[in-house]
Amino acid sequence: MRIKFTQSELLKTIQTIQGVISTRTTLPILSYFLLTVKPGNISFFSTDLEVGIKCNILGEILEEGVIALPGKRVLELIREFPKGEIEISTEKNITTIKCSKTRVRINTLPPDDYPTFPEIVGQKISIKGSLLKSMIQKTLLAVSREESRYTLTGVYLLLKGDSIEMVGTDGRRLALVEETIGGEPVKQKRDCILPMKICNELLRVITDDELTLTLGEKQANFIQKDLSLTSRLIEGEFPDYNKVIPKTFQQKLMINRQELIGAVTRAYVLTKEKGSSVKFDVQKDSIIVSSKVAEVGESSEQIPIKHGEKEIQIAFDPEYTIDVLKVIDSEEVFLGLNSTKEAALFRPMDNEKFVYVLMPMEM
Amino acid sequence: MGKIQIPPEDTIKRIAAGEVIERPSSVVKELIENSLDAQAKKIVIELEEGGKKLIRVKDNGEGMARDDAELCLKRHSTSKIRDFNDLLKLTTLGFRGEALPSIATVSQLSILTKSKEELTGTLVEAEDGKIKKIIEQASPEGTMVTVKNLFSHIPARKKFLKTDSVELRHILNIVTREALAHPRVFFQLSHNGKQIINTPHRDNILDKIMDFWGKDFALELIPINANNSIFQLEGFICKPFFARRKFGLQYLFVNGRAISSSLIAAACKRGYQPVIPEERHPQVFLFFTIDPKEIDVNIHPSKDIIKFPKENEIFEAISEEVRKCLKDVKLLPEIFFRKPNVKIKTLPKSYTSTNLTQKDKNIPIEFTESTKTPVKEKEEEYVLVSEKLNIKAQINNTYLLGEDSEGFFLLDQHAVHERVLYEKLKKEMKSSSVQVQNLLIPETIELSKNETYIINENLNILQNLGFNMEAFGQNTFLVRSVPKTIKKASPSILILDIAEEIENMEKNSSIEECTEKILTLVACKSAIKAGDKLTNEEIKSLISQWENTDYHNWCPHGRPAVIRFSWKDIEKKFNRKE
Ligand SMILES: Nc1ncnc2c1ncn2[C@@H]1O[C@H](COP(=O)(O)OP(=O)(O)O)[C@@H](O)[C@H]1O
Ligand SMILES: [Mg+2]
Repeated sequence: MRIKFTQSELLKTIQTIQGVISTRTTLPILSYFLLTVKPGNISFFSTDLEVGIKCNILGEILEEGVIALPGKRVLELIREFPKGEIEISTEKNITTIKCSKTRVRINTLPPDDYPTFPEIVGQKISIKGSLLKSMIQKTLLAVSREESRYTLTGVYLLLKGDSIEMVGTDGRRLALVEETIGGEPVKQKRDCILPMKICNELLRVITDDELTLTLGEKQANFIQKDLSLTSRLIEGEFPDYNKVIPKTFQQKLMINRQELIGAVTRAYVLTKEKGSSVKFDVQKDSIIVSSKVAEVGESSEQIPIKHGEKEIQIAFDPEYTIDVLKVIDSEEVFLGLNSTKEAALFRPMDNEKFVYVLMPMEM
Repeated sequence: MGKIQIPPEDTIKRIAAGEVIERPSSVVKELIENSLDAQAKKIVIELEEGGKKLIRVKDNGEGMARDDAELCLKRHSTSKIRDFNDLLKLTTLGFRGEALPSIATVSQLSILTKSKEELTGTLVEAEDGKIKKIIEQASPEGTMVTVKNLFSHIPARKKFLKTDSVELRHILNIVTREALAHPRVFFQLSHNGKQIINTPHRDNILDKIMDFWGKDFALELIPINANNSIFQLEGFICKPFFARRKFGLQYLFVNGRAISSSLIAAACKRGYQPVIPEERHPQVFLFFTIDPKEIDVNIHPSKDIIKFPKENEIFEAISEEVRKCLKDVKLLPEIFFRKPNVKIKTLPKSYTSTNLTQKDKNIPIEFTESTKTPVKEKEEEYVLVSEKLNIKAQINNTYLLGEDSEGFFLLDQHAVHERVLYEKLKKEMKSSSVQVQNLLIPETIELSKNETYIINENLNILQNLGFNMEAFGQNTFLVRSVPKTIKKASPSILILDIAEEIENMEKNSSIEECTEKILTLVACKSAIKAGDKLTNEEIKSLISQWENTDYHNWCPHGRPAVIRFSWKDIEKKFNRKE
């Protein structure tokens, strides 16, 4: 095998695929990536068995071949190489990387043991990268970190007609976002649960451009230009979230997002250490955001609101509250309340397609 | 007339009857006690075949005059009490006057003894309880008692003896306790010609403990002492980590007598409760001084069980002292010990009260390291808490590396956080202010019949902790809320663990014990784990909370939360000059 590319192209590609290159030694082959050179195509592939990332790259093909290279070492080397042309060539299990004056020889592994991902067949849709990323961002924050309820450790994705719905929940809160997709409406409802890992990788590597999503039986695939990401799906049933989203409210409030996030963040400074709640005290035309922590102190802030009708008190986990206020991208926030013990709903004032349901803490 | 007399009949009756001699170790115990009562400074014990073939105890005590040597084999002959009143203020180890006669009936016994006043010694030989020979024989001052072929004529008793090594272990246990009770007495013990124990005269208990357990162990002990209207207590207790699954490592002494007491053992355990798991028992060395008039030794033939006055008060006082003591040890006690010329604690008084017979042993026994420097005042004690902990780094995503003027230390982030959460939850539970998060999607938990029963039993505790649970069918619960701390742990797995652990606890565990267990589990499951990367902010907050916890040296399971390395030791390791 013998190929040539520019240092910057090569570095960018390896950085793209390094997210799933393992640093652990349990399965040594997984700390390698696969370089495949076929007529007219050079591709880099890495996988941790859950997610695989494949990246095609332009370069000058002098001789074909396949080889597994140690990910971390090659990345470190390429980073230190001067800008300009780099040649990679392999003879038996020795790979030589050279540029004008530098020449490095490293041991490599035969490619036969390297895992592969199957071709994914299934429902295809096309969606803007920017839209997918924003949907992931909004839902990923509510995903569970506790491994035992494994169906909650990923983002639920539902394709239905011309809409795509994504949901994240950890059983304490839930984020749901719905968007319309262009192109052909899907005929049959399809859903899946995307593991957190692929979500993070998507956020990291895809651009805002259009991409194609293929939903297979057990895998999903995302293709954007030269980049292809494949992930296993979480098997199991996602809870029926529609049941827990409140549809009617005793109180429908409109609050300035900046003011609310400021008040909650300041309260959080006091509650952080003891993990106490932040209290919302709703009155006719204002809401009092307060905290009271034994041995630490207390805070209280009054914010004007619109549409307050009855007085109601409710307490939230400040972290969960800040999480949602950060991803709501409108100036005014809608807050729907029913009672001290029932779930509350946050959403952008002007957008009903993104809702965040939060269960209150005990007062 | 000699010293030994037979007390009046009514007094004999009041002496708890019973066979004293059960196995070789009981012979050893009786003989050692006689030597100690005779003011011996050195006691040499020789054994063969676990004591079954031969037990010989040689002392350099007062010895016996000829007629005493003859009389001592008569039942209830004793030089130690004259009448019933003496029984009420016992100061000697023996008092029944039945050990020697009992031993004589179950073995071949010989006594070679000489008192100071006499010119030659006496040899008495007995078999089947009868004196067979009594002659003059040269002897050094003191007494040598030889017991051969124990129980050889009584198959029914012999049958119950265990293997040599088991019997030897019983004997070693007895001798260890006696030696600790009398640190100034030189004890030697050999078995089949091989020396096992050799502990010379020691002026302080810690040196004696070192003789038996070695320096590393002894230096890790925590001194304890207390004084109240019922007792005076001095001694050492182990760090929680040293607590063992084995019961019986409680070395308890009252007025110089080695005793066993389930009351004191339980009190100690209670004192350790916040820092060691249920199934472990702490190793302690406690020396009590109690007015002899207040206690009753005469309730069991082995004389190692005594009746305490005001049992409840004693229980509370001891557990409180242990608790306080564990709490007071700030950072690693290692620093206390290793710092030269610094006294841990000085005890002005002897642990033996003055009315004990060991009159010539009234030089105070020190409970500290022996040092030549004069005793310093209490201010000299080394305390390090005031100094702020300076954390340098998180290493291996598991430990926090810190430094202070004495050295550097490693904190186990999980243990540290566990301790913080445990004490926080405990405090909140007490004031019913646990932070509770309601669940949007309630969790269902399926349990076995047994587990369902256990969870139902403890539903109240769980409720107080923030688990709002509802029965949902026969063996299923619906969890509607959880304590806020368990953000990353699964409520259902936690409940299952709780059920399992409580199932493994002793059947009659109290509510407090179950609560402790549950708290410990919740803290453990909610705490950050080894491998969790922490931000500087998180480290800072963790440390500041941890510094304010009560027993911050240990996690609730009793594992250490911190390990220290003193600059001194490090310099030594690098062969640097001090
Ligand atoms: N090692 C010894 N040195 C001196 N006197 C002893 C020794 N052993 C036994 N005696 C004498 O023999 C008596 C009887 O001993 P024992 O049968 O053990 O009864 P007790 O110890 O209860 O008085 C003791 O009171 C003591 O006077
Ligand atoms: Mg005796």
